[in-house]
Amino acid sequence: MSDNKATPVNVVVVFYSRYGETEQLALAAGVGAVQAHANIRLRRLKDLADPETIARDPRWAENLERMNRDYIAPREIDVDWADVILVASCSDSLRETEKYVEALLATPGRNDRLLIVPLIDSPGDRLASAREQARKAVENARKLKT
Amino acid sequence: MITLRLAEERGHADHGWLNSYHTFSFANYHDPKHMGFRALRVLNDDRVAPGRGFGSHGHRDMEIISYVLEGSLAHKDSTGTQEVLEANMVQAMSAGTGVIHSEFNGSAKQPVHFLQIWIEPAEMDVEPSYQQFAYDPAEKKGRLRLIAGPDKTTAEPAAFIHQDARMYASVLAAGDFLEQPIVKSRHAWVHCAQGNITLNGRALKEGDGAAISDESALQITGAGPAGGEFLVFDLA
Repeated sequence: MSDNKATPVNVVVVFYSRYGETEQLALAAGVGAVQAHANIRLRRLKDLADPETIARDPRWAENLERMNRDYIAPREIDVDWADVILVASCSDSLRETEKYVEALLATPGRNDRLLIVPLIDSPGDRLASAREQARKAVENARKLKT
Repeated sequence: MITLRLAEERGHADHGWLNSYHTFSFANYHDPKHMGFRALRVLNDDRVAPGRGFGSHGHRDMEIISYVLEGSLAHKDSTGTQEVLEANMVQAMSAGTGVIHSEFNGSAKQPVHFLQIWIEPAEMDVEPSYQQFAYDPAEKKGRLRLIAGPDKTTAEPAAFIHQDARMYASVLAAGDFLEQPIVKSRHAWVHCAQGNITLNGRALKEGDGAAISDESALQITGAGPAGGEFLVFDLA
């Protein structure tokens, strides 16, 4: 087991959240990855909506201001670093994550061992499920590396 | 035996928003000769610009203690904790099976200056936990004030850590003296956080550290002009 844990696995959790619910899912996935002895980065995708639309929704604007302090958007060097990209989509809008994953799949020279795993927002204990999904993804990535 | 670790010989990373000095190897600073001392693994001397900070990142199996010297530090973590830490307050986090947290300068105007300390736990996979407490600064004047240790009950509030190690804080005015015996076969680390002190005849300035082994006592004097604030680690 200890040999197994020693294989470093890098996980980037990429999410798009407006009101913080998907952010919670992403954080839970991050904890699951850390529990599985992975290194993690959390990255929030920028809104595709225009600033006027966001400003009309105070709850969105408020959460956005907070999340902009806490997270940067995924960068190319994050993708180069990653063994696994966990993608958490927002139930209010799938466009942001869809666009991101499409661009990622189309990137020339992308690491072909990179695991891109969509997180499923399951009914019941969604956070426990996200942690478990992340742990499994880390284990799979570790198997691929050893 | 006392081995000094001089402030100017530490690792250094200046990211603009973060100016960090590493007593031991950390992040991009890696020196196999300075990987920690006994269970003390990291001692970072950090200054963070107003409003800036460390975004969400993970920790596992580490006892992490934050000691604020000036300013305020806002903390948020995956155990649901959200706190603001200031001088004369202590935060300790047991990462155990895994936590995610973020730390930001809690002020839009003032920089924050704090020490981040990592102690390797004796026990792996513990349930993650977070502790924070405030104390009266008078309690560290002229004496060693226990900040963290492995004892479930202590005479004054202190953080519980999963390791046979104790961290003390102290402030000595110029000319004030204290002596702390070292139990045979144990070790100590002294870090001068601010000002100047003399440790067993050696001068320590801000940022200097000292590894102490095979000595029977620490004799520490506040040095001129204004004395000093320092941490003492009692290590197995």
